[in-house]
Amino acid sequence: MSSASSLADSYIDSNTSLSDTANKDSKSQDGLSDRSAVSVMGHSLPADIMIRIASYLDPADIASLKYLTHRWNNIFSNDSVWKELLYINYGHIRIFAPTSQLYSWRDEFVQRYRIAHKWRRSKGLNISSDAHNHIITDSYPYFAGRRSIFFCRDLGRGTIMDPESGRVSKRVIFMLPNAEVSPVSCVDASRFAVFAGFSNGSTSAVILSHQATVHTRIEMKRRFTDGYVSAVWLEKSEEPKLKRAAESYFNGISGSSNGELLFFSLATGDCVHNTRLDNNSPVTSICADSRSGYSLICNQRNIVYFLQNSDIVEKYDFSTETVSHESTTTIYEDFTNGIFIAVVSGKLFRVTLPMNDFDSKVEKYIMNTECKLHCIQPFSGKFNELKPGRNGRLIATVSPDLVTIELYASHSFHQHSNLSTVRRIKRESYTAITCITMNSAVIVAGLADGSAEVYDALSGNLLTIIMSKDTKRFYRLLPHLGETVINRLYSAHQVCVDPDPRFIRGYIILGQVVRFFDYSNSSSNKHHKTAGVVKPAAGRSGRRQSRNSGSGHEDIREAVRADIEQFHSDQLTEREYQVRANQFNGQDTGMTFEEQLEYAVALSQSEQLSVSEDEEAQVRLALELSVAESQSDTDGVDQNDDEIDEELANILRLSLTEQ
Amino acid sequence: MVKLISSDGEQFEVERNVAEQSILIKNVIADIGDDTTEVPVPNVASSVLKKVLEWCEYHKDDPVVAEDEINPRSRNIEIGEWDTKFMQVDQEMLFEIILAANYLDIRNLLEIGCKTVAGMIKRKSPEELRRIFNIPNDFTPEEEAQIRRENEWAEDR
Repeated sequence: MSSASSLADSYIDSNTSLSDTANKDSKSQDGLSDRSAVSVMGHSLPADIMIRIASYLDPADIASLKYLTHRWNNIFSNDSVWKELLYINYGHIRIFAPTSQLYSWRDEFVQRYRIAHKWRRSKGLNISSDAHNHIITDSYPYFAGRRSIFFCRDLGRGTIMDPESGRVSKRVIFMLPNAEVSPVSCVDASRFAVFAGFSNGSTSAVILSHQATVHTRIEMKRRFTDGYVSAVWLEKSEEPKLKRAAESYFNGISGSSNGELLFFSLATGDCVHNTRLDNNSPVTSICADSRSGYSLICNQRNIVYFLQNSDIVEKYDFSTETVSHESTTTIYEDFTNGIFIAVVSGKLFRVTLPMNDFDSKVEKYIMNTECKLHCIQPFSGKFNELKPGRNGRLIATVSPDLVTIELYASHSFHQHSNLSTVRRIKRESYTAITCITMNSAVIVAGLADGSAEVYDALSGNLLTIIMSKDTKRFYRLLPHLGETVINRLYSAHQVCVDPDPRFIRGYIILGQVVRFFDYSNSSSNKHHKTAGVVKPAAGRSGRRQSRNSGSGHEDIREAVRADIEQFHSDQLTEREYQVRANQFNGQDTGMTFEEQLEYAVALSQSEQLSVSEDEEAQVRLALELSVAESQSDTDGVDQNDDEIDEELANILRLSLTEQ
Repeated sequence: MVKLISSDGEQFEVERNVAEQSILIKNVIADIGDDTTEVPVPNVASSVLKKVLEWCEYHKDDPVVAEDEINPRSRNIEIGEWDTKFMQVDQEMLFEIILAANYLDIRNLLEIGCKTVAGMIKRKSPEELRRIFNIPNDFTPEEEAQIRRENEWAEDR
C-alpha cells in the first residue's frame, strides 16, 4: 500500500513517471481484487484497520478473533495493540489511574470494559435504609472494611452500617458523650473514630473497634472558654493508637469560633499544643498531617494558614476572591507533594507550600466557567510504573446552573498549573445536579429528583441511572404533595462511590434515607463458559433465588481465596506485596497485604446481626421491587407498572405507619 | 471540478468539495496548486472509486469534525439509514471500500466501514466467523488449546 506522501511525491515529479507508478500500482491493485474476501479478512487487511475494527468490539469478541488465524492471534497478543485500543476508545492515556494491579494494557482495557459493562448491564442490589429518622449531616465511607459511618448532628448520634447480601447486616448506633448537654456543632470521622465539637466549646471522641462496636468514649481534657467549636479534624490514616506516642504527637484538632486552636492526643485526651490565629474569625475547615505536624487551617474570612505544630509558617489570603461573605474555601490538601488546592467561590487555586525545597506560590487554574460543585480525584501520572504516583488530578466540576459537568485534568503539580479540558459531559436530562463524586473509573452525580447518574470518567458516556424509575413513580403516587416537598424529601444530598473502581458500589443519601447500591456481585458472571452467546433472561423465580441465596459471603471468600492463590503463584517479594497493598487501599494502612486479606476473610465470616421484623419486611419489599424492576427493565414499555406501584404504595404505607 | 483517474484508467469528474472529503486528495491539490484538475488514484479500482465517490457526494455537506488529541474519536458515530443501505454490498466490496477509505483518508467512511465489519463479528463464535469470512483454520489443535488458555481472561465477564 503506498502512502500519502509517495503519491504526492510521484505526482510532483512529473506526469510521465506518474503513469508508470499508476501502472505498477494498478497491477498490485488487480492482484488485490482477484483475491476473495477470505484473504482480505484473514491475511491482507492492514493491522491498523484491524485494530480500528476491534475498537468497536468488546474483549470477548476480540478473544474470538484470536482463534481465526495466526496473524490475528499475533496482533492481539501484542500488548501495545491494547494500548492503541485504549487510546482510540478514551483518548487521554496519560491521565489513566490504573484500575488493575497487573500493569498490562490488556488488563487495564479489560478491567475498564468490565467496570463500564457492569455499571451498564447489571442489576445491582439496591438497599434502602432509614438511618436516623433525622437528616443525615455527615457520612464517612470506608468500603474496604465494609463499614460506613452516618452521622446526624441534630441528634448527636450516628450509625455504622454495613450493607451486604441485600440488607443492612450490621447496624451499630452510637451516641457521643456530652451530646445531651450541648448540641454538636461539627464532626469528623475516620474508620476507627468519630470526633465531634460541641456548642459549649468542648470536644469528645468515640473510638470504634475493628468489629465496628464502640470501644471507648473519650472527652478531651481542655475546652474553649468562650465561643463554640466551629471545626474539627481527626487523623484518617490509622487507628488512633491508645498508647501514647511522642510527647507532641497530635491526632485531633479543634478550632473555635474566635480563631483558637487546640491540638489533642486522642489516646489520653490531653491537649499537646494550642495557638490562636491572628484574627478572630471562626475556623471553617482544618486538615493536617500528624506525622509531619503540618496543618492547614481556613477561617471564615477565607484566609488559609499553614502551620507546623503550633507555629504559623505562611498565610494565604483569598478574601479578595470571594463574591459574598457567605462563601467558604474548600481545601484539598496533599502534604506528600507539598501542595493544596483551594476552591474559593467557584475558582480553583493551586498553592505550593514552602516545604520540600519549593517556594510558596499561588496559581489560579484557568477554567471555562466557575464551578458550583466540584470533586477531585488523584491519578497516577505514570502508568506501567510500580509507584502509585499521585502527582496529577482529575477535577470534575458542575456549572453554576447545576446542569453541565465538565472534567479537567491537571497533569503535574510542580510544572504547570494549566488545566486541560478532558471533556464536557453530554447529559440527556436537565435535572439539577445536587452532589457529585468520582473515582478513577466513573463520575456519579446525585440529582434533585433523588436519582443518580453514572458516567464513564474517560469517555463521558452515561453508564446507568440509579433509582430514577422509583423517583418517577413516587412523583406519580404522591400528586397531592407539592413538588417542593418531594424535592426536599427526595433530592440526593450526598453521593458516594467506592474509591476502588473494581468494587462497583456506593450510596446515595436522601435526607434521612441512605440508599446503598452494589453492582459488584452481578449474577451474570456465573455462566462464563458460553462467552459471546446471548443468554435468555432467567425467569422470575430463578432470579429471586439467585438473589436470596446471598452470593455475598461465598463470592467474597472465593475471591479472597483466588487472590491469595494468585499472589502466591506470582511469587512476589514481600516488598511488592506491600506496594500493591498500598495501591489497593490508596493509602498506607500499616497492614501487610496478607493481613488485609485475613481481615477481610474474618469480616466476611463474622456473623450477621439479626434484624428486626420491620426491617426484614422492608428488605423483602425492596427485594421484590428490585426483582420486579429488573424484569420490567427492558428499555421499552413497563408491563407490570401497576404491580410495582402497588408494592411502592405498600412501602409507603409501611414507612408512614412507622412514623 | 476535479478529474479523478482510477487504477484502471477510468475518469470520474466530481466537484472539488466532494473530492476533498479525501484528506489525501485535498493535500495533493493543496501541494500542487489550484489549477490542478487531474488526480490519479492509482490504488483504487473504478468500481470501488465509483462507490466511494457516491458516498462523498452524499456526505459533502457534513460538518468536518477534527480529530484531536483529547478526543481522538467520537464513539457516537451513528450509521444512518442511507449509510446502512450503502454498506449492503458483498464482503469483497466492503473490504475494498474500507481499504480505499483508509488509503484516501476519508475518516468517517473508514469508521462506518469498520463499524459495519465489527457488527458482523459481534457475538459470533470463532467457527461462525470462519464460515462468514471463509477463513481456513491454520491452527493445529495444540495451538488452539494454547490460545484457549491465553484467552481465559476474556471468558469470564
